[in-house]
Amino acid sequence: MARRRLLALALALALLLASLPLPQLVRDAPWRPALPRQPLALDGLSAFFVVLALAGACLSLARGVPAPWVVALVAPLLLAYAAVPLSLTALGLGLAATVGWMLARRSDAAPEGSEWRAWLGGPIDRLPGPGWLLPPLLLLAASWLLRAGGSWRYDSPLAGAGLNAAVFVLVLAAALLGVAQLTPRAPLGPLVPLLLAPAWAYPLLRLYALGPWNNGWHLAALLLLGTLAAWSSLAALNARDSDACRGLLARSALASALLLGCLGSSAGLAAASYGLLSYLLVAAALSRPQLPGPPPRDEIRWLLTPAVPLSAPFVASWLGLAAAAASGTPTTALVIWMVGLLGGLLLALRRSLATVSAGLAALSMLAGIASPALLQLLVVPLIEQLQGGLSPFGELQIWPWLGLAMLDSGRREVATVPSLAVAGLLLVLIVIVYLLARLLGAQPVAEGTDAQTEDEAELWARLRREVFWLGGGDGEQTRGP
Amino acid sequence: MTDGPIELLALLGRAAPRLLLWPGGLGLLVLALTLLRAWRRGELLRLELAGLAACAAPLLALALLPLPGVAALDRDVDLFTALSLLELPRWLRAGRGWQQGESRSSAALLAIELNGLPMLALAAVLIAQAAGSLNLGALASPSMLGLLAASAWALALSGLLYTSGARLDAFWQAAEATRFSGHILLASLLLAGTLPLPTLLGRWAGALALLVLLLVLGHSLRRRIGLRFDALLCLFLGLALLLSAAATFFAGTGLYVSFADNN
Repeated sequence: MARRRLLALALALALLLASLPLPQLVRDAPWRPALPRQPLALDGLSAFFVVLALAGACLSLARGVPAPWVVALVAPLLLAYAAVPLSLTALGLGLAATVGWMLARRSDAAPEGSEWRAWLGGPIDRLPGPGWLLPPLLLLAASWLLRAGGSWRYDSPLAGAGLNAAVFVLVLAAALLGVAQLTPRAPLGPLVPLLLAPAWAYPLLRLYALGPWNNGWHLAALLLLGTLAAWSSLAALNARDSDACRGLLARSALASALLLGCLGSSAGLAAASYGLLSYLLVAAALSRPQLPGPPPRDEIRWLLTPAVPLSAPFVASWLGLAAAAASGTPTTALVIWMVGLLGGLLLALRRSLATVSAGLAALSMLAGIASPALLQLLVVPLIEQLQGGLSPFGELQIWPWLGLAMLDSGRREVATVPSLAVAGLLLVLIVIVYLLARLLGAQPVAEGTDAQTEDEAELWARLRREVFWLGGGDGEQTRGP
Repeated sequence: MTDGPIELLALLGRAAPRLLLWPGGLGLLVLALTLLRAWRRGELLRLELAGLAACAAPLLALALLPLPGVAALDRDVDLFTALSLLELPRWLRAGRGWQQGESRSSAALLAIELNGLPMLALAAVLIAQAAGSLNLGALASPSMLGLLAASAWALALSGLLYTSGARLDAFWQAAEATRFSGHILLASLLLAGTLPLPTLLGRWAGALALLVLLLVLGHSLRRRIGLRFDALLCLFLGLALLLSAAATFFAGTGLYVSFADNN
């Protein structure tokens, strides 16, 4: 079993490495193999989602999902829909088939403790409900409407003619329902947050390829997704059950990435894409409550939160805030900020929620510090190709060797983070402080004992009592510092 | 501007006077004095990476502030980055304390942070609305909204600067001291940028005086009415934000614009 997983991981890793240059290769013109009727087409957006799907597959295999075959099933599905110009149709059909198949399996009655459950792994005891069929059906309806107005294919010249409010509402509803059902009780258990996450962002972002959105659509999507993100993160904070909390946390992160995609500017699109990448890391940490072996040191957890400058979630939050500021929607900035803060806090302080391994933490720091290169490599091609559907309110500027900046519609810098420079300077300062401390006779001291017996519940109860906006805040008890 | 790694090296080189002389030198001095005091009291200086990082992050934030007379760097940092560098020691300390079984002091520390941060975020968004940018170098634009937002920042800071009475290791004391000086300078920078006074000296003197006033005011109000003060301030800032967003909507800048045009 272990050998099979290792083989699957090696294969997925090889595919991921091979797919990394894809976005650059299709940057100038989409790749269309010369086949009759051209069934395949790969443009910047598809290539990004191919990379995302493979990265998700690698991460979940590396985290030891109990069923490599599920990964083997779902990853090619995602690849397929990303490469087919009929993507909405293909995705709808694929998802409907998967869910239908699983429903059929359920009616076979999986007995208690069956192999079936062991395959899926993780803390699930519920198989998909019929509600899971709804989003794929909505996508199918949307693609039928597109066909009625213009063409099935997004790359046909007629495609834009079919884009109307009904199509938009259907796709948005599918995305909302898909994200809202993202809990550990979902069909593939902890795998769903990892592997099916891109499925809900892709159709929505693909609409930009058909033409600019109506401005009312932007605001409606911002309102709905913002509410979903904010509500999920507040609910996660109050969830007693750590399974529920995990699902809500993943949902809020994904909803905030989608929210940024709906800003409709290239800055928003960049923030959304990077948000999806950083979401994969967080979801990988959430996907396994306990890792066999000795638990890694607790400080590492902070490296997966926005509290540590230059970690991947920090850069994701920064991009989100800056994109919101550049597009002049301060409320979006507040939602992003709140989701980042609460998510980070939960991830860092609730031990039962996630296992953060040293490798994951290192990946997070690497992805954060090297974010200019990552964005240049993976995201810029898709932004360039979707430019026709985007508004000028917010633009990303990349200095490959220094960092990132966001420009507003007047091309003024709204926010800057010279990530590589900051990392370099921080390193220099740590050395200076170290030298200073050694001069004063500081000694490296062995780490104290870890008292792991503290009660989590007590900490959270205290926080709820003493922080005015966490609900139930009682000013009388904590009068004055 | 050349491209490639040279650009990075050049920036690091240009940053040296900022790190070591002004304003970074000031932070280093504060740090050294705190460590020296602990050393003279015979405390054991426990060297660990978390402690070093906790000292270095606020020091860097301090060094990157575009105060008057600093060496020029062509890349600015923004308010969000500066704030997270300044707050890193607190998060690290809370996490560490909790790990080592001091959940009471950790919870107190986290409660201070969580009570203060919403207001800082609201104030930061208002500052960005007023100045049109989050970059520290671009914040000097005297306006009523800017002054209001900077004052709100200072009022929120009065809660955040408070240290829970726990006994700290020398490094964490030093990190607290550096963080404190960084926050004071950052808040003065925000206030000095928005005060409508003619000379630089006047602006800075006014900003410092106003900052002290606001910190004292915030502290005493919080003593008197407890957490209701934070809630009220948040409510007030939210209202101000709503009004300024409405102004943006009707003035026609940003994403709202085209929406307004449509109707």
